[in-house]
Amino acid sequence: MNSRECRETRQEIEESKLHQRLSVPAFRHIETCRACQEFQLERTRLRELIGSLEPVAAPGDFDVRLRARIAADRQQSARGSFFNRFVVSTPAIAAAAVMVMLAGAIVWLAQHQKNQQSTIASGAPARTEQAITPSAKRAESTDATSPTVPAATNPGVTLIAEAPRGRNLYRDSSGRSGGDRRPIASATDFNVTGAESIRQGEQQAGEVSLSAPVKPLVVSLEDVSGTKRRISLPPVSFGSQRLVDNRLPVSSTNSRSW
Amino acid sequence: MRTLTSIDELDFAATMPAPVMVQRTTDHALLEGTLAGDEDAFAELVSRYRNQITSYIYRMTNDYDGAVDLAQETFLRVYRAASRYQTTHAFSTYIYRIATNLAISELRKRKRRRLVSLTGLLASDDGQEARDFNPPDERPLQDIDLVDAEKRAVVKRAIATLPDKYRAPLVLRDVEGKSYDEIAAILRTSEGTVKSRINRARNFLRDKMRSYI
Repeated sequence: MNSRECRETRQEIEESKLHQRLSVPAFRHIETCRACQEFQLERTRLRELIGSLEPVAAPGDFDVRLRARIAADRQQSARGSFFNRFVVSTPAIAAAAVMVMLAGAIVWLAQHQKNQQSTIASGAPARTEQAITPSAKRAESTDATSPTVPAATNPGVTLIAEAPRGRNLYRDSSGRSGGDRRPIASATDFNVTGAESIRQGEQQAGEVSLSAPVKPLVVSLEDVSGTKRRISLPPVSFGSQRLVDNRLPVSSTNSRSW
Repeated sequence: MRTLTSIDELDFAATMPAPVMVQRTTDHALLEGTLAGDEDAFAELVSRYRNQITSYIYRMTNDYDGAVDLAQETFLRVYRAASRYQTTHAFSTYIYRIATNLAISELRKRKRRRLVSLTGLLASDDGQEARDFNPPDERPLQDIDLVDAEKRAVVKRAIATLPDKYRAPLVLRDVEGKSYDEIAAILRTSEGTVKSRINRARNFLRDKMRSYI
């Protein structure tokens, strides 16, 4: 058996169509070569077997179903087209970018304010010491950063609030103090003397009022003789503070000027 | 008076109108019509190829309902992408390529789902050498129709066990009767690769159906 001829003949058998006439050299070779003859017979039977599979037809409602499917697809694409077009358009991208930037700016501002407040609060720790002096004398404050507090008319006790640097000093009746001569704010102990009642005013913008209830408190008293008295206590306001004013530290002491 | 001896002498042919040559619209023209919004053109395309595509996908997947579904998906894709179609290849090549891709992806999905087929119950681990679930009866049968039916069933089962890369070229060549260059264009590979794969597929089938050849 000539292997080259066999290979070429088999290749021709393999690539030819079913029942197609082979070339003369291949045909002659097949007549003489038993192996190639068997190969041709085997391949022909195999291909006949594979070709015997009957074609399958599409169902009768194929077109109808396809039309319905195309219609549904068209509707779906029409519904989604506006959204898709908007999503990939430049205005939408720009709007999204602006929104992201705005959100970032808001977060940054909030963070920045928080940090600033905490820095001020930690930079000026609040401490208060009380001193009861025999002679009541109003403390004068020359500190520009510490607003003065209205003095009590009959002060028996003078409270000396801390200095901004945190050094608290007792002040004697003459007004001298132990070391630091920095002007300091003073306060009055209202346990001894009554405080002025400050009526609650209208809250202004940017202010938070720390106030009592708006309605006056009415107290009925009856003495031994059976006389009734009604005392109306007007609402007392503890003032308000501007939120935007960051010059003064927010502290937990009661030494703030309201 | 001359006597007529045959009906041909009446010379009806001269008075009969010449046969009208109905020119078949090309696939490309139909697709252009579809693109222009002509629904009838697309319907004509569908009627030309629906049976071929359904049959081809059925031979690939061995599941009729699935084949119909995929055939419809094929036409839907043709419809959607009509504007992108390029006339460098024949339309039949284009639509068979879509159908092949869909069929192969369906076969891969099935593999992932690990569907247990009756023919694959006795398959080996590599999934390529499947033993016959219903081994051939060597005794001669009385009814030739029964024999043919059994042979067809065996061929179907044998094709179903072929690896995907061998199945598509074999079906396109031996069932659909496509040429090698067409198959190469459909599968986007070289003719040499197509020939080699078909040869291997036939050898594979020969081994599986030795009793019937």
